[in-house]
Amino acid sequence: MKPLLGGIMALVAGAALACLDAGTAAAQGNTAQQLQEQWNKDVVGKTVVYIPVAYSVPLTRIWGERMQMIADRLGIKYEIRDPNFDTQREEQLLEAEIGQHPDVLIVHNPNVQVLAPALQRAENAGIYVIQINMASRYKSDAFIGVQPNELGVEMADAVVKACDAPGTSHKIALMDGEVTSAYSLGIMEGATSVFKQHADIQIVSNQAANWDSKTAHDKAATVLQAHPDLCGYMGWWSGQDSGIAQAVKQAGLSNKVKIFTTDGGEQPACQYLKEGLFYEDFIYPAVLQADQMMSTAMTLLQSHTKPGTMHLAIFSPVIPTTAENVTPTSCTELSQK
Amino acid sequence: MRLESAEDVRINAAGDAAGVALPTRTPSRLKRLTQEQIVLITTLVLAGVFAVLIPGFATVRNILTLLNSIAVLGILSLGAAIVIIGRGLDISQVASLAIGAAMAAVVMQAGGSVPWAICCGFAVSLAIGLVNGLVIAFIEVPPLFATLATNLLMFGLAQIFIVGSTLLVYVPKSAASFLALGRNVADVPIPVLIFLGLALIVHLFLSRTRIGRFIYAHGDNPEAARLSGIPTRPLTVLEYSLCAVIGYLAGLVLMATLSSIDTQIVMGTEIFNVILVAVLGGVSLVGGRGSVLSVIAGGLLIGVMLNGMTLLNLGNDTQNIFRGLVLLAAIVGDNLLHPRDEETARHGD
Repeated sequence: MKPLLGGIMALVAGAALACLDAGTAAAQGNTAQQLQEQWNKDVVGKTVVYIPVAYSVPLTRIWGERMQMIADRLGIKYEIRDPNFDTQREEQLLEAEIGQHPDVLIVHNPNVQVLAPALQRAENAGIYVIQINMASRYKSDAFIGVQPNELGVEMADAVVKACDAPGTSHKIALMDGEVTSAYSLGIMEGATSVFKQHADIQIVSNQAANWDSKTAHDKAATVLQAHPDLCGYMGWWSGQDSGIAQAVKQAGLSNKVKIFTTDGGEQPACQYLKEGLFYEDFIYPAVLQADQMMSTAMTLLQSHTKPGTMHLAIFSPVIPTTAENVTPTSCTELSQK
Repeated sequence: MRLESAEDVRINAAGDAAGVALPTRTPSRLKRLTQEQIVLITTLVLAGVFAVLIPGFATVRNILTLLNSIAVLGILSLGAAIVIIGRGLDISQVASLAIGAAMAAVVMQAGGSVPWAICCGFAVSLAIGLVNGLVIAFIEVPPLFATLATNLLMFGLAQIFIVGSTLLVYVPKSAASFLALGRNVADVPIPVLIFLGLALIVHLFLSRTRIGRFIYAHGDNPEAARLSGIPTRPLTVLEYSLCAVIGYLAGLVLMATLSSIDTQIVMGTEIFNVILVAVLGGVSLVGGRGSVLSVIAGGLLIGVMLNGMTLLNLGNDTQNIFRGLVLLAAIVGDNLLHPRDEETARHGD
């Protein structure tokens, strides 16, 4: 009697479980289908336009190629505009896009001022605006990028650690990029706040290279011959700081002057780290940022909020990379088209 | 060379009529200063000020660093001077610099030997110069428009055929003999030696050879040059070819210094710095005037300014103001001593 009762109970329990599973499966199928419908309506076929400062720089290329890949796989119309470092041209392209009315604009600002009015007009016209890495003074729906003040603090802490130590000259030099960009200003603010707390550290030079490696090279060469006992050089972007590395190498000071730089995981930074030309590179992985850009675009499209009402901040993680911990994926290789 | 202004001529004429010697406005010794000399004096004064203000300025090492920073600009300006003296203008010179150098780097990356890579790059730059010269000489398009168009065209072609869309090309580490060009020989940077050597060659070419004199004649009065039998069209082709090839040399020097070449600079404003250096030093845009000394004078002024301002650690905005004021002072100084009037402003004088 007992085994029979046990058997019947097991059968009933098993049947109940089976029904439950089937029910859950049916519910999951419905949800996924519902989400697919919403996805098709809100995301597929929408237009995302990307306007970097120039499309020829490794950082903006990594972003663009990654976003293109995601967009192509998911049926999003994705377009790239290239102002080629011309600020006026970038403004014109932005104005033209406002007229074309895409669904999302992903914009890289050359400085805090020039695109701010146009970005506001774009949101008033119903276009979501995502600003990347270099912000304007206008807060749009989302900012994705490195938090420059924090980056400045982190870099300066590393410089101080290396150059406040006994036995060093305590002399450091700074090589800024484009001084009026939010990115540059933020890093400078963060770094200055750290340097102020260390009276021993002497800043012997604070020059700007405007992202150009030849300018960085010439200014660094001048500084190095005046201060051959320099301990550290802090640069605002590895693309220009490669010029500093070459100047240090030509002065025969490669093992003595430590170069601290930052970028989105762009070559030749990792190569320079391995060769000892850069000491430490604060990498904010650009592929991760690109993923975040597309995800944010997809989120905004499905949120149905009025453009200009949200102010999302998605700050990028920074990975201090040295010759010891650099990996094959620390930097992103670009496709050679 | 203008020795007396029109006003001085009038004063002298009035004095002659009255039988007395009237003092002219400008002391005659100062009037005899050429634009090159005015710029050199400005440079020396500035250098003197910096030497006093900055302890390490007037050292051999700093002077060599200074010269190294203007070596590429100086080489470019030597090429630009040849064309400007011939009453032309080459806006596409940076294209010859960057695209030629990029071609050499791409060949090196593909495993080609350094000499072969340099030849390939040379061929590309020469082609740019020939296109410029032929279009300007035979189709008679004004140089400004022709070279502006060539610049864009070559940039586009280079993007498609040579560099791809990254625009930045690296010199492989295996090309060690090439990279050595960016280093020092007995503490003197090789780029400086190349610049000074080229300056000597171009000076001898312009002042001691027949073709050099023809270029001056061509720039001073093209019609008269043509009528007197100078082959102005082949001469034009030669001028632009030399400019392009000298631009290529500058590109090799730049690429050796930075171990890479960024073809992005073709679309930048560097060409205006090149023309500024030449014109500031006395190579007149109307043609027929100026010399290698002009380029050296202009280049030194720019170099001293940049070096001094970096050592003084001046901020960006201060540097722009200062640079503007110094350039203005040099130009105004020249204008005051050599004012334009009807006689001297005419072409061919």
